[in-house]
Amino acid sequence: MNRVKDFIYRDILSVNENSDLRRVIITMKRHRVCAIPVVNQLGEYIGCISEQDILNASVPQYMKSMYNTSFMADLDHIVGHLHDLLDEKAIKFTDSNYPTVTPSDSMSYAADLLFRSKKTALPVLEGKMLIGLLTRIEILTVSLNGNKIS
Amino acid sequence: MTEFLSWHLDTIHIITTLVIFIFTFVFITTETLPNAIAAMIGAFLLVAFHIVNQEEAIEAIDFETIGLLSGMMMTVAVMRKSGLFEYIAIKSIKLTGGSPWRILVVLSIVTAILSAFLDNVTTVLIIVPLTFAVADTMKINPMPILISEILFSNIGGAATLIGDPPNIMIGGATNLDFMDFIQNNSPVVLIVSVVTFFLLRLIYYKKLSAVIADKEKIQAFDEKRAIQNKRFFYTTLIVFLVIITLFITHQLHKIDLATLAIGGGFTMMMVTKQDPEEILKEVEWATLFFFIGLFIIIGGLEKTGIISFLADKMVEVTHGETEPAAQLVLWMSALSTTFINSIPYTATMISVIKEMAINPDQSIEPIWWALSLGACFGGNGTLIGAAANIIVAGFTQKTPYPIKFKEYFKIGFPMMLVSIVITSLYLYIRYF
Amino acid sequence: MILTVTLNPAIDKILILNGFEIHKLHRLDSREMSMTVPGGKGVNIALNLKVLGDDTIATGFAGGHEGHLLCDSLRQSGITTSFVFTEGSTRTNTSILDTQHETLTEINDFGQEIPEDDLVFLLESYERLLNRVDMVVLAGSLPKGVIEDVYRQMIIMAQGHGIKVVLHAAPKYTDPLIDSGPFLINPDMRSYHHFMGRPLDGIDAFLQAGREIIAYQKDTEFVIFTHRIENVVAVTRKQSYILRPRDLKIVNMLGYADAYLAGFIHAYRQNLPTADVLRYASAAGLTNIEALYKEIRNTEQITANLERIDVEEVS
Repeated sequence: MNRVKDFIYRDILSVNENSDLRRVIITMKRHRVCAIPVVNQLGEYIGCISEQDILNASVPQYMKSMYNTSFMADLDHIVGHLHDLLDEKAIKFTDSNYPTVTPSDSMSYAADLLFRSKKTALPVLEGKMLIGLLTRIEILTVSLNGNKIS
Repeated sequence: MTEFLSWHLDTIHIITTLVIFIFTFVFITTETLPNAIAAMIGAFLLVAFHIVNQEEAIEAIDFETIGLLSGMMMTVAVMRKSGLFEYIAIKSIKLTGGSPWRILVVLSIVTAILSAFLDNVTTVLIIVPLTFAVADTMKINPMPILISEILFSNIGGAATLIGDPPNIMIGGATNLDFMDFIQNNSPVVLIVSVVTFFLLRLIYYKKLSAVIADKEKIQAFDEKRAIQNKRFFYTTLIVFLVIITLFITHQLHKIDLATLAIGGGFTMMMVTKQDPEEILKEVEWATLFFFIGLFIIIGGLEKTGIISFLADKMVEVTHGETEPAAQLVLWMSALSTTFINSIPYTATMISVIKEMAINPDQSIEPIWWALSLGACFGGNGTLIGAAANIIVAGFTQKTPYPIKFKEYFKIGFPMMLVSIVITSLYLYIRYF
Repeated sequence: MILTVTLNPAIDKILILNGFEIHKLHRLDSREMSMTVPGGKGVNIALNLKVLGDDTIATGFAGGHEGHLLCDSLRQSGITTSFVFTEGSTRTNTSILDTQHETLTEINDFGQEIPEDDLVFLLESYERLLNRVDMVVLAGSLPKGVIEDVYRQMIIMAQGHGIKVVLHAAPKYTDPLIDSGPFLINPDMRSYHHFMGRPLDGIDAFLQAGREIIAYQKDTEFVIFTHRIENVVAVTRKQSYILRPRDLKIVNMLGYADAYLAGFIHAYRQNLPTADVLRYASAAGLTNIEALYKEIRNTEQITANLERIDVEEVS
């Protein structure tokens, strides 16, 4: 069976719960990832911040409750609100219920979890320790005649 | 009390009914349970304890009201997709040229008009996000505008039969039709609106004129883009105007409102090719079951004689004369619905008024207007006075401008008292 | 788990040519080769450790396309990465190995400039990583913008977690760090024969310097001079050792010290007697320089080479 442990993208760079949003966005951009794990001072995993979480925080409540917002196309509110949030702490945007997998889970389980949650990457945890990520492409490439990525 | 008990052998039934009624009322008012659950469990218990049997329970439900409500919900669910409401609101905002006070006036008028034809909750769900969008664009505090919108959603709702749940219930329980409501309620609604604007101007004009607002930015809103499909837009608009015209011309064709609303709702779905599954999901089933539960509980109160007891007491106080009865109902309704949900209150009062032995020489009609206006305007007294108030308050809690109970009370309660004084004079001058 | 810190890593562009000349167009033929591989001392040590079977996390600064190339390559080797990416790009170091004339030409780039906030972020990340490792390797130069004191901070933070620190850098960086007491000091003296503020060469001078450090700093257990490959001098608290490989056949000196230290760390973590640890380290270094690649590829060769190392104990 294909297990997560054979396909982990072994990058464990994470942000601290006290890092600011500016750092989170910079890190996502430079590392070319869509979601970044958040850890506490001890390095224990506490959640994940995805691009979607940041957008969710920067789209004003009132825009979310509108059927459509195309009549506001000439306005630049979301970028402005995001700018106001740059100094806020990462923990504020952290999704602590973000789905995770363990190394012994099967790739099929991970695929289903990714599919259901519509996320782009899953943190791989051993206890409370982050040991890497599992991204969509890792899952998609499993099928290529058993080619192992890492 | 002994006199009352001696009429009815089954004291236990009366006590059980009262206990269920009071608990339901308390749960609804304190929001311990969702409205629909509280009402339906109360209704279930009444049937389960054989205070009313199932047939009586079904009979007690006013399907006229349920039909009208659900039909309007379907119609509005389709219409919301057209962008009509946003179009109207944005167009009006742009006409103000960006003056905060004028925006307050214009948005309040739009709120009042929409409330008269849609239910208040739907109205504020459309207008409040737009208000925030405008305030965010102009960098102003939306609070005065929001408070004014709450006031006008309840004021505007009083104008028509379909504007507010108390009116829908009164319409369902009596022979009063759509035009009766417009003829009798809209004059006082207009007077109260003018006075309210005058008072709001005294309170807010200076404050609103002092802020430096980004007036130009308002022009960046593009109302045309709110309409994504012109054909859809015009189709829904035409069907809606036909429905309203049929409401108004009830005297000519004698088709009842519930029939028109449901027929209109499904016609709307048909001509716009909407998926009924999707539209029916937007029908507020919880609200409908809340009404159903309440009707059954009130049915229990009627059967056990509690309603006639209350009606007799009212007659005792008012000597069976319309005039004092109307004034009593007006003030009682206004003060009660300030703190308790107007829907169960109105449902109860409708039964009580029907049971009242009014002097046969006098028309009972003014009492209905007193109930309608009292229950509608009373909602303005506090932040929990009406469903729309609660919705607006809840919405603002997640924003940088949360409306606080006290803050609203300072404006809303005096405004409510003024509107009731005006209504009281209006009833006196017009009917007596 | 071992943590290697490479603040100024590189992409190593290695060209192995049969006859290198300036003012000439070289087209590689079948006997020659070109490699683009992760580089920088800490990274090399991590790669060697992975070959020896030790789990390693590599941290440091990286950036741009080359940074991703570096990290991807490390992960493909099975190393866990935790690099902090900066706005600039990871440098490329070019080495030209001429097999005909037996020369090595090296061109090392500047490397990226590190803004202070990225340094702070790296130190935060480093402190968290200390919770999951038992040994730290600080190796190589510091990039522009990084204060000289950063290695000292890192040593003190590691010591706070009770973690042993292996330090491998040029004398310019190691000199001021002697008093912070790293577990192992291995000055990189290939191109600069000064250490502790004085010219330093020869077995006796190395022994003398090593003893001075050990006597001065109670936390330091090993001072090792590896750059004179024929006489590697290791000073410990109890005694000193001189290690000499027999029948040396140098093919490629690239990555010698990195392989040596990886061998040392690997053997030390097996709790071998000190003499055996040092012998293994030297054998690892020897294996490396006798093959073309800059990291060890054949671990069995290390075992085979063990007996080619003569160990002289000096009291």
